[in-house]
Amino acid sequence: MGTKLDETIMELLRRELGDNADLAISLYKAYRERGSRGVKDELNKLLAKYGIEV
Amino acid sequence: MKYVIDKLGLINFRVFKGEKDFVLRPGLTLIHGSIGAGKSTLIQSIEYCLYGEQLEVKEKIARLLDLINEESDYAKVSVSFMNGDSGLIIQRSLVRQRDSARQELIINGDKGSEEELAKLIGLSDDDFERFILITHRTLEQLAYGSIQRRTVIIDRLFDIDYIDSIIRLLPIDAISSAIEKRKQEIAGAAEASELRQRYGSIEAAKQRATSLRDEVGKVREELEKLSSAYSNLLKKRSETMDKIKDVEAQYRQYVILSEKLKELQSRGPISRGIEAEAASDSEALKAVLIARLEENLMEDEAQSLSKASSPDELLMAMYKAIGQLEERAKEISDDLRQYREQAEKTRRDLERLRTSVTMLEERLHALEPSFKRYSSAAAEVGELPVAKAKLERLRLDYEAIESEARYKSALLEVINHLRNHGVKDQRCPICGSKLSIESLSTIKVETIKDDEVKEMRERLERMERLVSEMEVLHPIYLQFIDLGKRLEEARKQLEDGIARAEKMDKAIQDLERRYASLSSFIPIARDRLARLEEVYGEVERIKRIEEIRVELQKLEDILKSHDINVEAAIRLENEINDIGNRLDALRNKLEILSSEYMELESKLSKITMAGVDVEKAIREVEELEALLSRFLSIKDGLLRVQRIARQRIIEGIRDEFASMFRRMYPYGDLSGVSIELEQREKGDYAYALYALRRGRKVPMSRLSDGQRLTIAISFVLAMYKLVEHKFGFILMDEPLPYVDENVKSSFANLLINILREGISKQVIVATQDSSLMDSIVEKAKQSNIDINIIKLDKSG
Repeated sequence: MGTKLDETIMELLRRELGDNADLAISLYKAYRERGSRGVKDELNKLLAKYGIEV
Repeated sequence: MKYVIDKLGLINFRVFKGEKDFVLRPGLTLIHGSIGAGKSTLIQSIEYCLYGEQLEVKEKIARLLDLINEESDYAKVSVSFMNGDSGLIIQRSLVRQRDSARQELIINGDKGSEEELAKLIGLSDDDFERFILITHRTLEQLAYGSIQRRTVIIDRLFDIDYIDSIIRLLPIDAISSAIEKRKQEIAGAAEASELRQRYGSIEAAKQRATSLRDEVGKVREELEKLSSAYSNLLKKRSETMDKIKDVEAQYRQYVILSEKLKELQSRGPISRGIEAEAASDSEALKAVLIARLEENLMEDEAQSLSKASSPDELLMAMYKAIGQLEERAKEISDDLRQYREQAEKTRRDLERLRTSVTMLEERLHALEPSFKRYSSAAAEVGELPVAKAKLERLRLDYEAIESEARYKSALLEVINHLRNHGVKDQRCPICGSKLSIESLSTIKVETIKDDEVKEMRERLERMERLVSEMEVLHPIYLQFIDLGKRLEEARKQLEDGIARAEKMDKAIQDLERRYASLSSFIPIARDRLARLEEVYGEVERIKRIEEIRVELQKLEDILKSHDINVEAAIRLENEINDIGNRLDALRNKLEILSSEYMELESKLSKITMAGVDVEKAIREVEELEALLSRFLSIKDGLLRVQRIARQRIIEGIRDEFASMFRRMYPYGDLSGVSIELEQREKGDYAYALYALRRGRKVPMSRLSDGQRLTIAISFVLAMYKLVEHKFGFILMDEPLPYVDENVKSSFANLLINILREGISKQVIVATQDSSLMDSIVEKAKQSNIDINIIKLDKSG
């Protein structure tokens, strides 16, 4: 993480996603650090209270 | 300067058992051998040495442990890089430890760390796999893939393919399903609530469903039995009908009449003497109605009723008469409403008149003293014009007398003065005679007495006062006279109004009486008429029963003469009717039961689980819908970011791609290449690669294999050149499987061009394809390019 590309993409996410930018960036970081599993873990944390598992 | 590979040493690495050393040189290196000879292992060993991993391990196809030859517990890879005069030697060893492997890194003879190595080579393992290790998958997708596949591979080459992966991982479907599931639960809960309310409990509803199912089954069975019995009876009737064909019409008539008789008798017992009672009631009601019609001045209507004689005529005429009386009652009611409105208006007018009279009286009373004063003056001096004329005359008379009195008095004064002082030689100025004392003494002046003038002045003054007062009072006098007249008129109008109101009240009372009388009479008359109609109906029924009996007797005689058992036939008809009715009733019952059963089953099937917390489910649906909206918004945002990133990629690579193509493709039929972002039908954006021919865009699908391959390699090399790294070599592991000779030839040319153009110093290609190898060797020789061939076989 922290490469120029990541910074560019996160800047774009912030610009394009407004209120939802934080969630999108957390998914982005999770993917960059742990791949699909990382994104699924993030989503499952968010959706566990509804009994949803991705 | 960039690193090229100088030597490669392997010890017990995968298929290579024991120690193997390979010398490589700048230029072209071909690694050739059959499947399993270790070509790919040689290529992979370079990646392993640099990163401690390689593609298969990263993709979990193999474990690190699997990199050690299966007959050994130890493996080692050593790669010597040359960069001009300086070198870099990286060694990585693996030691088997039960189910895992421990590895050690040596850099330039010393134990090193991954961080140190990363700084030295300056390129991540992912980037290495993208730009240095060119796979057939990359080339194939770029050259032959669909726009979608090409877009995926370009995104992967530029390391933005994860945006697409994140989009695909977004839980939009999972949340939608969860929302749907909860909605179904909520619907099920609503159904459950309804069932509890209706049946007491879900268990009771289930029991009811079971009971209904059983009952429906029973009714169906019963229906079947009855239908069968019904068919048998119809069959029997058919047989009977065959027997009585000759007298069928009479038989059918008999059956119909029997039914009719039964129906008429079922209405009640037969009353005797009812006909006389009907006639008597009818006459009485007729008389009353005629009297009422006449009372309401409806002579024609009364006459019409009096002419009716038969029961039907009477009933019709009496209903008509009642209707006419109702109309009249309505007319009276309308008149009454109008009279009441008029009476109300008259009362309001009278009230206004009374107020007006009172006001006039009050004003006259107020003006009366002035009127009297004026009248008194007028009595003394006449009406104002007369008085004024009198005053004028009196004023003239007074002035004359007053002037005369003054003259006579002055004349007398002069005469007396002359008498007393003498009149020497004085002559009369009028007649000219000489004046003398004596002559003066003869002059007699009759003076007017002061009293007389005074009395006249006093009369004049009084007259002036009276006229002045009359002038002031005259308008009041006139007003008094006018008000008096108006009062008289108002009193007259009031008296007339009172008389009119009294008349109207009488008329209203009369109408009210007539309306009340008619209103109370009409319902009574209707009741009596309805009763009379019933009595007539009963009379008619009795007559009809008698007639049918006679007719039945005649028909029975005819049927008996044909040896037909009428009673049995009738019984059969009755049975058919009875069973037909029962069948209808059963079918109705079955429909009701089936309907309830199906509804109940449908509702029970929607109740998925007991004890659904509806409030919680509704709340969760709202929360999930908000989340879904967020994820849909994120998806849109990611697609926008993806498009922007792709656009930036195109802007970054377009010129280098075109330049690289020109260097790799020396022929004149294509002038260049282009890459653009195109919007597809479903709205997303994808890369589109084009060649340019005479300024026009030619899509990949319309190019030859060689042209496609050139474009694909130009694209990869453009990236290789654009990305900063320290490697001066390219690795290709079986870059073109399953292609024809023309493509192989084109590929060989491309490899030569890479080296000749100085795009890379070293190209290492592993292939099992002998014809590709031959083609490359031939092209290298033709172009004077150094070529190094490493031949491998399974024996090592």
